[in-house]
Amino acid sequence: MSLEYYLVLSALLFTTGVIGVLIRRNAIIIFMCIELMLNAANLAFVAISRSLGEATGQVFVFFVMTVAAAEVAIGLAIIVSVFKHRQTINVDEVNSLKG
Amino acid sequence: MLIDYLPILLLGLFAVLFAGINLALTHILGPKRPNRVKLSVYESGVRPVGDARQRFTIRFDLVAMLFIIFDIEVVFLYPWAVVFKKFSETSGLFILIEMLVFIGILLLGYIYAWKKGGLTWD
Amino acid sequence: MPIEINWQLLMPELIITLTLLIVLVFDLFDSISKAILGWMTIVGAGIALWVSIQMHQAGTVGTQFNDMFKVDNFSLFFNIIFLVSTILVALISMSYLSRDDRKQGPYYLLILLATLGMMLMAAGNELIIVFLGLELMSLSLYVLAGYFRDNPASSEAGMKYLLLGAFASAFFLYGIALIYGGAGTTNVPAIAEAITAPNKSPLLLAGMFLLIVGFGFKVAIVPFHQWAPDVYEGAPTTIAAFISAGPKAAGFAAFLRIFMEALPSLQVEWSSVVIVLAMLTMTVGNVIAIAQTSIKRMLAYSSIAHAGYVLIGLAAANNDGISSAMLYLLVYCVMNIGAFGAVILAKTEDGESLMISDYAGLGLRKPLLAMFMTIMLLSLAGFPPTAGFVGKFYVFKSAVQAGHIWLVIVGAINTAISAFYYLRVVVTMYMREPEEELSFTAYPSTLVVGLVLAAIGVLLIGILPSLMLTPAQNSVF
Repeated sequence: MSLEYYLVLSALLFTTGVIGVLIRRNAIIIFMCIELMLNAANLAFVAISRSLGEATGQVFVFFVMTVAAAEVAIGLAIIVSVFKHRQTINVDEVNSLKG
Repeated sequence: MLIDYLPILLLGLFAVLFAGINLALTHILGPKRPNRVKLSVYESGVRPVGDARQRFTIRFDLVAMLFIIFDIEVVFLYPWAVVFKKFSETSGLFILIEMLVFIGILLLGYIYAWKKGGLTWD
Repeated sequence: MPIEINWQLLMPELIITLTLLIVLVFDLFDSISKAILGWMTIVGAGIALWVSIQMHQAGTVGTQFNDMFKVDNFSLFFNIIFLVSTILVALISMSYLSRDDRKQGPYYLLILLATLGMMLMAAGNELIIVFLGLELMSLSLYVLAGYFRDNPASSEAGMKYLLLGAFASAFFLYGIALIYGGAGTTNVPAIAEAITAPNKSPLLLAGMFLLIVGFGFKVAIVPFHQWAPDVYEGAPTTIAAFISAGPKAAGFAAFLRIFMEALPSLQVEWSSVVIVLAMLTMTVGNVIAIAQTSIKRMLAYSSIAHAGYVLIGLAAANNDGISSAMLYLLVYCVMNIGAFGAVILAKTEDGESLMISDYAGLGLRKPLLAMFMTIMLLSLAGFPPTAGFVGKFYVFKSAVQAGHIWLVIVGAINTAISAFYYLRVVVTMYMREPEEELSFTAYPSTLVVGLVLAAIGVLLIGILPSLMLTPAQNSVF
């Protein structure tokens, strides 16, 4: 199967993620959409790596996975601490900072 | 080509239709005699208490996050193990120590999380 | 296949790693005073700074780990910028944090981790390393921005920074993926070789624009700047200083490295984008800064505008452009941390004075504070004989050489606009009477030391520009 299909799929996933970040208001869901974007990139890496016949892209995916896990851990901790103060994680309601 | 996948599509379609039609048929044809015990939530024979959708302590979240962090680092052991043999002739000891340093730093992080109370449960 | 590692090349990074491990271990013992951790950070960063300067003077060049990690004068010069920022931030943090002594450990730990991430970004010769460095830096900064967990504003700043920062990282990563697809490699020099003039695949162009979006968010370029004022306002002031300095320089380091070294054959495409972004960034940053009443927000918009001046150097895309952008970043880091430090110095009994009107009458009541603030603001505005003037002068000069006259005209107009709001603070301090008498707390000595160092740096580079200009010119890859 040719590389294009994978790239189109990954572009669709990435776009879904971007649209999700832009239209959803719940911080956790925004965060999940960002993870979707990262995984779209992972898919592209693996597909390209496969079609080139070399391993760089696959190693890249390992690193992205660990980075994404760390990002989730930190992200959830920060979102929890915001929730403790506000009792909400709707990004439109968490807006005390503006000028 | 895409046309090669047609049988899979057909199979999937058939599976969905088969399951859907059977469920619909039992729903339409089967006799319904509900009572209080029958309608209650099945909880392995134990009498259900309260609502399932209750908040649980945030401690779970912390432990889960620590688990994810330490668990995912194992992924680096795989490529290391794959290439270990290739290098073991010339610099096996060196890359063994390298991995030990990596695990040592992880261990240090684990001790840090432990000492700072990340794993206490109260 | 024996593995050779030249440890000497990795010295600055190793020293920082070692320092952070030592800080981590010492933080485990409650019997040890936490105040010592700050000093350890300063000493570790100081040694790394000294080693970096030595290596820079010796002109060390070399790659490590299969060509993934490149030490050259470019990365070493940026190491100097990062380490100077780290030391200054640690100095201004010590008095800022002493109230809650117990939590200092993670604070310095995260600052060191972020510094290590920045150093990896500047030395990354492979897009993986740049991405890892970027994430190491960003993740540490998200936590630092939300460091005061009990303070709703700080948590909120952390969340905003996290959501937009992670969003930007995803763009950056996807850009890397597409460039990998277009060029077939993620090694910086190999990408340049793979892209020959006739072969401009749409993947590469799309990847390049995604990288610009990712970097644009990270270094707060208009139109990707909206997070910056909110984060700077909500984050602890020391961390606002840190975020505005080192990470911005690190973002530009990777930006310069990737665009000048890996994508020079796409220069026609990206330089026009960069020119437009530079004009937008300067203008929007400066114009919005005029309307601010909070000093932290004003400095946030001013730091956005300064990213625009650095972009002028990048748009020039010649050796002078790169070296002047590097010099500008160094100068900007020192003066911006100095300005935030002066904000911390102006602490009253009910907290920090964050409104510009609070500074009325400080010129006579608090001469030392007013003097620091004035030096930093004049430098930010670009008045001679301060470093800010030197930085702007060389950036504009390189753009003139590259033929971007319009860019320089827009830059000059913006300098005039920015002088208005910087001088307004100075005028408020010296000419206006305070509305209410504020009782200021005593000056902490470490903070004053940090500010004195920053002020000396700003004036020294301003009077003797060749002191830093020559090293910057020697640092172009």
